[in-house]
Amino acid sequence: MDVRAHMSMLFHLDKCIGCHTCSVACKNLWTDRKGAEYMWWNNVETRPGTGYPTGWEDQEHYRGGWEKNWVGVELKLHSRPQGLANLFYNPALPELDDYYEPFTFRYEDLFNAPEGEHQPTAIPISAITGDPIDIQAGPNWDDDLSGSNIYAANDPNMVDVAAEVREQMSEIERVVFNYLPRICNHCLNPACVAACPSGAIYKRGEDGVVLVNEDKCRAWRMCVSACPYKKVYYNWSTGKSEKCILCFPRMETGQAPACAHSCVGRIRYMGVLLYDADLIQWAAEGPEEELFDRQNEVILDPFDPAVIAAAKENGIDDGTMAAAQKSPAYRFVKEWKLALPLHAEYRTIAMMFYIPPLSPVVSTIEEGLVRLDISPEQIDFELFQGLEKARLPIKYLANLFSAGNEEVIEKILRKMLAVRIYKRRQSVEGFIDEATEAMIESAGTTPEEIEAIYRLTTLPTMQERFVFPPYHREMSAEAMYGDPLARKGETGLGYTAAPKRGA
Amino acid sequence: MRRSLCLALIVGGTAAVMLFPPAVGAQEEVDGREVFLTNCSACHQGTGVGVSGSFPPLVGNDRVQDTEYVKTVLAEGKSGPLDVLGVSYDGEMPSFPDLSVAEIDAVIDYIQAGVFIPAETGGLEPGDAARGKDLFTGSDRLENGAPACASCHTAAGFQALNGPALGPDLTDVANRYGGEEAVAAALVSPPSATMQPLFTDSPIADQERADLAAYLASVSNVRPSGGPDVLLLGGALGAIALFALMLLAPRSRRKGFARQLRSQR
Repeated sequence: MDVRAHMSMLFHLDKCIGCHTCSVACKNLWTDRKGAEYMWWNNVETRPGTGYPTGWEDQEHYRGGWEKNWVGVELKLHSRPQGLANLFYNPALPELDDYYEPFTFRYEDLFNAPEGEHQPTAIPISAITGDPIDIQAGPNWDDDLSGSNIYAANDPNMVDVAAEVREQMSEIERVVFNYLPRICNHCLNPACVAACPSGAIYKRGEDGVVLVNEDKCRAWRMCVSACPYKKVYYNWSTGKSEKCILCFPRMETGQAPACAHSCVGRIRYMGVLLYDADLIQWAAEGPEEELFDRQNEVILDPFDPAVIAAAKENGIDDGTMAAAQKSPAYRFVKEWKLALPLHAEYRTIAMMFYIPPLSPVVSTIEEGLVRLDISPEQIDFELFQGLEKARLPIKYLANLFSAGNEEVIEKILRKMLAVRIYKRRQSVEGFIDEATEAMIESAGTTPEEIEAIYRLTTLPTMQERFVFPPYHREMSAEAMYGDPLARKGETGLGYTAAPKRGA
Repeated sequence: MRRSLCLALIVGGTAAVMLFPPAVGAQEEVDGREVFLTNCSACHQGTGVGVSGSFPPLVGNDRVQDTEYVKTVLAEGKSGPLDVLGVSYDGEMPSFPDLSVAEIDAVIDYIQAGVFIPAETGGLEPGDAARGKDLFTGSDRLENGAPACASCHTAAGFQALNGPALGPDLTDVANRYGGEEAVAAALVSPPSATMQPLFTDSPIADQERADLAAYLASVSNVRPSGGPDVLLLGGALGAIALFALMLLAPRSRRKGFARQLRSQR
């Protein structure tokens, strides 16, 4: 057992309101630089939709992630000899139009326009050429289903959703969407790391953050294609690839990453997950339907004495261990089994987790009136017993989160509904009837667990949502630079190596 | 660190020169014979008899006694027909700008003294052109380990695509130098700056020189290659063929995902 610690973020999609505050916080902090205009280390997508970059989930087009074949698990982008042959021409890169042409507005026209009959306007201009452009795309172009007849209709996750269900979803009364915030998944089996010909990308041992070494990056851009989530971006100005760094400078000082910290809906949780590095290959090689179960095996129980001993042996300090035991990520993912990684079928073993969203029952239209075809007192149980009536098709959620396995999604949604129904009965009616007790049991949960899920979902404090281990940077600063106080004074002066007189 | 060291050296050095100017003429003794053998004997021969038709003799040559004249020739070089002792020579002598004043003085003293290496040690056995060819192409290794001529040079188009083109084509070198003997002489101390470091530590043996010279003399009347430059022609044809192939290839550059979607509108 090779125990290591990982910082994992958890997104409670039921709480996301799609306000993009996370994206803006991230952009203001990290990517408001030349060459990084189009980078959205954090973005929020409307689902169904094609996301950003457009259609990133279509791996037949973008060739990201891993593929199981007769050799074992191989990059979908290329085999090793193919990689060599394509070194100078990577055929699977997204193009400018798949992102968008960065633009700004000619604001000076508002002030410098000569006197005239009409109000002056600031027309959009390309941030690349400076010429006026007709904006064709943006980072959230299909937000709230805009252009859904093009974008939502071509969502790769809708492929095997039944035709009549898709037909229904396009009716205005039944329109449904949810939001999907995305950052780099800091995978356990990262395809970007494997694809880099320069060996410039690495995964930090202490917390699993995947980083690009800008000194070693040689602009091959294999990472851009190989990442199935398209979360490595190429900076055209510096000629280096960049990606989400999970705000490690913030985490090291005990603060939540900017996206999580600024989250208005408080949908994000962060905590340590312990994992067994020896099991990664086994987990990545599993048959598709077992992928998530195997990933769950890789994540270790921080209360297990054997795990604690092995962690100690691996140099994981007590502070990290304590954080792992309080980790909200551990509770949602492993203890309650409510959260899933995005697209397990990419075999990258993504380490950011999502709690799938609930949705109301499909309505019917009778005599021009929209109404539910169930009686009000039965509404709760109706959805519980007939999840196929949920507005967001189960198949669709399964394609997003469980490699198409609907059973996994149904189990999670049932448990979440059980929490909702139980708490509603308790607070509205003041007692729990037999039907509810039976429902709780069939959802595979208990009143105690429901109470715990409820508390962490709706009432968590900041300290409960974000549990960071002490990073002990003063110790590594001592080891690397000598005097930590001097280092503190030098930090932020733009050096990648320690400054030295006369050199 | 390095920069400040440099600065200290420059400042210190300047000060030292100003305080203690080097005494003129106080340099170490230069051996005129050494200078001669390194720079002059390739053409004028160790024996000082020169090469008939190309390089005039220094033995018995009155001009040698005129120090100013020799200095001018060393500084500027000399070419074109020149009559010495009633015989006409038509070689080319480069200038020697790298020689120091002391070296020039020493070598002039040496040649004015006229005591050269006795004639018999400068002479060579007649060369074998066939062996010379093997040495040239590298089939036989040079005795002292120097690289074969064909590493850089070609002669008489002995290889496909005219052979190596790093150094000049040596097909008519014997004509240019004025005969077999001159080539053999030049090989004692190869004339170009590129070759000197290669052959200083591993000189070409006497018999090898003779053989190589014999080979080069034997090909000196071969026209390098009558037709057009094969390399250039082949390259041009190859490029045309590649462009043609590119035109024939299907225009299958894939269309971006977003462009595909938007074209559905």
